[in-house]
Amino acid sequence: MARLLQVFGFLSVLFRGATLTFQSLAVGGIVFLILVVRRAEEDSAALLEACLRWIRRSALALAAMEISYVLANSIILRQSADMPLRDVLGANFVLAAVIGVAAAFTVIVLTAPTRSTNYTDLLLPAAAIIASSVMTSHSMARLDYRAPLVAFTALHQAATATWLGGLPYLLIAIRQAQSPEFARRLSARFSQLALVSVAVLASAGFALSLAYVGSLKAVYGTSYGAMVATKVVLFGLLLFLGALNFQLVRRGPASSILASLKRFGEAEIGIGITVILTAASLTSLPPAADLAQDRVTGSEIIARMSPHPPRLGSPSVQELPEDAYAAQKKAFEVGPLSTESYVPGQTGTRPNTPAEKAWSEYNHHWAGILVLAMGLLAFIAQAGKISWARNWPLAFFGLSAFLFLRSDPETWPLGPVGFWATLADPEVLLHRFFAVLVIVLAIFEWRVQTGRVMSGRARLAFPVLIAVSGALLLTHSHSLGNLKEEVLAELSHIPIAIFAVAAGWSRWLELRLPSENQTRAVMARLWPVCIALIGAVLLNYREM
Amino acid sequence: MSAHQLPNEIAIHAGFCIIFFQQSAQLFMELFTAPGKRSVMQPGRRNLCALVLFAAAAALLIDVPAAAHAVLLESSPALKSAVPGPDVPVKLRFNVRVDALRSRLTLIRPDGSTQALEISKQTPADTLSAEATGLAAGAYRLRWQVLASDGHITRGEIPFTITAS
Repeated sequence: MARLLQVFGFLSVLFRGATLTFQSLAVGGIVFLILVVRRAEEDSAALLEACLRWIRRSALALAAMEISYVLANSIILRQSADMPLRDVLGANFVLAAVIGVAAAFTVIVLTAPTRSTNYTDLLLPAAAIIASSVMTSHSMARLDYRAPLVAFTALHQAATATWLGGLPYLLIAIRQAQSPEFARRLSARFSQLALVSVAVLASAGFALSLAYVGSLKAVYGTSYGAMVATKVVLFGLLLFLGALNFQLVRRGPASSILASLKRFGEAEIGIGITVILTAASLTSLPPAADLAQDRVTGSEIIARMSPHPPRLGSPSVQELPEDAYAAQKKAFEVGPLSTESYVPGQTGTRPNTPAEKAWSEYNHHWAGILVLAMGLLAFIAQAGKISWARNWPLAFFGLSAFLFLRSDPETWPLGPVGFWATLADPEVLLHRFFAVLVIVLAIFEWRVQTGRVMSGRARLAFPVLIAVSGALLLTHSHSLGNLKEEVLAELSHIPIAIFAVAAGWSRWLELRLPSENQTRAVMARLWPVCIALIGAVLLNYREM
Repeated sequence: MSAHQLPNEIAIHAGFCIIFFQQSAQLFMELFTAPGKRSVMQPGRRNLCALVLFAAAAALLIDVPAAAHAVLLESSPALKSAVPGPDVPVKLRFNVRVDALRSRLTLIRPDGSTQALEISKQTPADTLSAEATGLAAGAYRLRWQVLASDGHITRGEIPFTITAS
């Protein structure tokens, strides 16, 4: 129980993100099947079967995630509130999960291979899946305008599923299509559907933002507002890729159109999942409109973000608190508490000491110098001017050494705790593991850059890792209250995440697009710039 | 990452992450495999892929603080306030609708003993009300836990002092 309590918040975000992703895939697949595949003039049994298979798999995964979430939440509720099981079973979230799971299994049954060809009855369980999700959204708990907010949330989620959830099925369709012309027709049909979905989700999203964010000051002054703004930026990236697709279908070179469509589709799916993860983290935050106190002001942001010489000197280890955990516990017990509302398993937070802040700034700034150098060298290497610049991944060795030395200052070689003793501490062990992992990645990408690895798939590891890191950076570190220091730190980390997502997927497109596609050259220049910008943001990171 | 997580908790993190990313990796790679070729990743490669993704995720996610969204907007008694006893009306207002039947108010007395307070049924949807009676002078804490209508569980504590009347 205590262990479940400790990871409860983590599991909630994980299950919510996974639920939204699989919900989008299941519902998006159903809409794609009915509005794109079934309306195509040409019939393809292989395509139909592939779509049905993925809808079934998505529905099964959705049911698994729903059951996992409801089990975790029920156990926590039952144990933490000493609640009889019958009371737990009557909770709204249990009812929502029952509807969701029943709908998912209905989808599995209705998409069985032996069924007839009429699939419009799948729309009913699809609607039930959306309804189940809306029942655990912000809108259900609002005091004012509950009915319209529920309606806008349902529209927003349904449109997201149709567009982003439909994208993988477009790739499947292109792959399975019997002729390029058929694939082109499917793409054009999906483009129309996507356009309508984008309009609906943007309109509903705007209406929801008015209710949940409320003002421009809340956009930059709260975590919720900043995350909504992030979603808008990522949405812009998706629209940009969608526009490229749109142009391609209408005016692209026939020889490479399908290959290009698939590659853009892959990047759109990746960024789409990032948006869904961002949305999952939003559901765990109180709406900005509810937190009118202690918002970060524009002048505070300018003061914190204005360029400042990097901190190249570090405080000594002796200046850091000897036992950070004991200090945290003491601060929580004697107050003042930095947060007054938290979920089971969470504790209050202790403000960092000036030495800890300086230690952290020093870490960020040296990491920034290394990343900036990598970005600039990669840019030069891409231009083909200086051949040795292709060795830029070797700078990761510096990053690894830095992580090894600075992540756990109380341990060897900086602190009194010996090397072997630290390996018994899982936290330190993980940090050591990451230090080794960075070296492995350095060698891996160095071999790719210098032409020692030619395998197409192996070269994708690096961009995928950068993009995944960016996506996950968006899902972490939120406080329930308006903790100015945390909001300011988040405002620094959000650009890093966005640049990482852009770097990962532009590198992906550079590697995957056919050589005759002109966008490929643009992407080849874009990702080093994004990496350099990550370095620049890190260099300007400050905690005081 | 907080410095006080037990090995088992780390293992739970790791287990869920690896399962999640293993499945994601298979879904992702299968999608991009050309028809007619191998449609399922080899277990070894899938595990490697999951491990790499897990490592990236763990580096960033392991710092995740728990979060939900019912937050306390105002309370009576107020945080760290001094109020006269012996009877103290308790009223907590949240930013969202809360499920009063599945919420709890507990009073922690100066000697550490606890007393569950009965929540009044006749309150607005965003408010919990109760009555604490017979309180002697001293330092108390009011521990609350609410289930929001959207299924999120939130909790907190309000330290306050009873002054001699």
